[in-house]
Amino acid sequence: MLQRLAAAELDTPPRDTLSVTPTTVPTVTVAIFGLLTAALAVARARDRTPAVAGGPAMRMAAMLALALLLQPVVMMAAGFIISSTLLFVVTATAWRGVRPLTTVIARDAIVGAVFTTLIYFIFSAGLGVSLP
Amino acid sequence: MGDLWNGFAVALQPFNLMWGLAGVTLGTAVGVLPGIGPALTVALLLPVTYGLDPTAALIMFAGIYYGAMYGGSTTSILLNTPGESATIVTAIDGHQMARNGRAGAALATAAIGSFVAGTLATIALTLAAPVMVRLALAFGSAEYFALMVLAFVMVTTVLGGRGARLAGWVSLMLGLVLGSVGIDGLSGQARFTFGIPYLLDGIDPVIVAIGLFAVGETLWMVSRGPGHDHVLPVHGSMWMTGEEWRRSWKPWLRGTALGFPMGALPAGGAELPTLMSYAIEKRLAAKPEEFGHGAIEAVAGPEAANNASAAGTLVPLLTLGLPTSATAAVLLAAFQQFGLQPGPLLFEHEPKLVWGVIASLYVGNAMLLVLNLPLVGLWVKLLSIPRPWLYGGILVVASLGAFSVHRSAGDLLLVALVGIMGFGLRRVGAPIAPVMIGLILGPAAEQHLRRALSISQGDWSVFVTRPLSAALLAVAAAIVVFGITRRPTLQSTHETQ
Repeated sequence: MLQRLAAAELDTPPRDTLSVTPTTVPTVTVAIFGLLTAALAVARARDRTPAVAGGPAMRMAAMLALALLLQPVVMMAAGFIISSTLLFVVTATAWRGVRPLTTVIARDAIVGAVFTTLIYFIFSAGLGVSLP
Repeated sequence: MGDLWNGFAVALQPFNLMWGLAGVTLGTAVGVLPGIGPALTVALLLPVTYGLDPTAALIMFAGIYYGAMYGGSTTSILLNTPGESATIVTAIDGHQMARNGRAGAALATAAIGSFVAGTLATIALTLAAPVMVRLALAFGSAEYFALMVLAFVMVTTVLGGRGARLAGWVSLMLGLVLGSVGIDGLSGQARFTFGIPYLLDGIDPVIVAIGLFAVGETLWMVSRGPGHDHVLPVHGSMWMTGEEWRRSWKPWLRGTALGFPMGALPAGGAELPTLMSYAIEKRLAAKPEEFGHGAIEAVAGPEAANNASAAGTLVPLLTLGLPTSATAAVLLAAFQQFGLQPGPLLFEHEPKLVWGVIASLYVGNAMLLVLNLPLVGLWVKLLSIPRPWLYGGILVVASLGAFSVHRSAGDLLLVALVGIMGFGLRRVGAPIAPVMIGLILGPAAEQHLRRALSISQGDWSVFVTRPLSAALLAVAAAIVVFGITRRPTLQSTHETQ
C-alpha cells in the first residue's frame, strides 16, 4: 500500500503549471512596474503638454530635495537641533521662492531654532526618544 | 447591541476619553492646516505611541481620522485652499459663501452636517460590522486574494483622474515593489535587499507614509511657487437661518447615503463621494444657478458625504483588514504595530478593543461638534501661521518622527528618497493613495495567493471555481477592461461653475 502511494506520488510530478516561488511575485511586479513606467514616460514624452519643467520654483524644489538627502549626514555630524534648524530655514526659503533678504533668513533661523529646541525637549524629555 | 454597550463602557473610561479628546483635537488641527493630513499624523504618532495601551492609541487614531474631516472644511471655506483632499469640493461654494458674508452659516452647516452624517454612518457601521464579520468568516485565502485584487483595481482606476489611469497603475506597482522588499514572510528568503542589511526588515509603512505625505507634498507645494492666499474673517452670526436649515437637512441625509457605502467600497476614500454629492445636489437644487456662487447645499452635501465615508472606510478595515484609503492603510499599520490583525477574528478575540473604538466614534462626533462650532475662532488662528514656517515645521517634525521609528539615519534617507518619488508621481498626475495601499496590502495579497495555491496544490483554477472569489475577480476584470468607473474630474467640476 505504502509502496503504491509512494509510486503514485512519483508518477504525478508537480503539475506543469506556473508554480509560485518566493521570487515569482516580486519579479512579476517589478517587470510590470518597469513596463508601465516606460509606457508612462513614452506617453508623457509624446504629448508634452505640461511644459512647466524648470523655472525658479522647480529649482527651489530641487534644492529642498538635495537638502533632505543630505540631512541624515548633517544630523549625525551636527546633532538634531542644528540639522533641523537648517532644514527649517531651507524649507522656508524654498517656499518663499525668491532669493531672500538676510534679515528674513535670520528670522527664519531664530524661529526654526526655537521650534526645534522646543521639539527636541518635548521628545527627549517628555517622550523618552533619545536624539543625537 | 450588547457588544456596543460594552464598547461604551470602554470608551467612556476617563483615560480613553482623554485620548479620544486628544485625537479629535489633533485631528481638527491637522484638518485645518493645509499640508498635513490624518494619514501623516497617524504615521508620525505611531512610533511614540508604541508603549501606549492599544485601545487608547486606536481610539486616538480614529479620533484623528474623524477630526480631520471636520477641520478640513474650515480651511476650504475660509481660505479656498482645501485643508484635506476630501474637502476640495467644499471649497467651491463654501468659499463663495464666506465671501458673501455667510462664513458662519457655511461653517455651521459643515459642522452640523458632519455630526449628523458621522453619527448616522457610525450607526450603520455598528449594524454592518457584525454582518460583515459573519460573511468574512467564510472567506478563504482565495477570496482574500480576489478581494485584494479588486481593491487594487478600484483604487487605481477610480483615483486615476484626468486620463492619468496609467500613472495610477505606476503608483500601485511602486507600492507593491516597495512592499516586497525584505525577508519573505513564508519562506524567509531575502528579496530586493541588494545585500544591504538595513533592507532585510523590509520598508516600514510609517517611513513611506512620512516620505509621501510630508516630503512629497512639501516638494510639490514648493515646486508650484509661492501661493497668495488670505484668510477671510468670520463675519456675523454662526447660526443658520430657518431657510438655511431647510436647505441643509436633505443634502446631509443624501450625503450620508452616498458617503457610507462609497467609503466602504475600495474606491480610495472620500474624494469620489464628495464629488458625487456635489453633482447630485446641483441636479436636485431648486436654484442650480446658485451653485458656484455660494449655495449652502453644495457645502452641506459633500461635508456630510466625507464624514460618512470615513465611517464607511472602517467597515472593510475592521472586518476584513482591507484598507480603502491612504489613512485606512496607515491605520492598518497601526493595528499591526500592536500585533493585532483586523478581521473577523479580531471581533472574537478583542471585542472590548473593537467595540471600544466603535463606541468612541459616537463620543468623538459629539466632541467634534463642540470643538468645531463654538471654538471655530481658535482654529482660524492656526491658519495665520506663515506658510514657510508651517512647511518648515512639518518637515522638521516629519524627520524627527521618521528618525524615532528605529533611531536610524538610514530611515531619514529613505524618507527623502520616497518623498522624491512621491513628488515625481505628483508631477505626472499620479494619485498617491495606491502606493500606500499597494505597500500595505501587497505582502498580504501575495501570502494569500501562495497559501491558496499551496492548499489547491498549485491548481490556479481555485480562483475561478470558488464562486465568491470568481465573482470578485470578474468584477475586477470588468473594471479593468471597460474602465466603467469614470471619475468626474475636478477640472470638469470647476468648469460647470
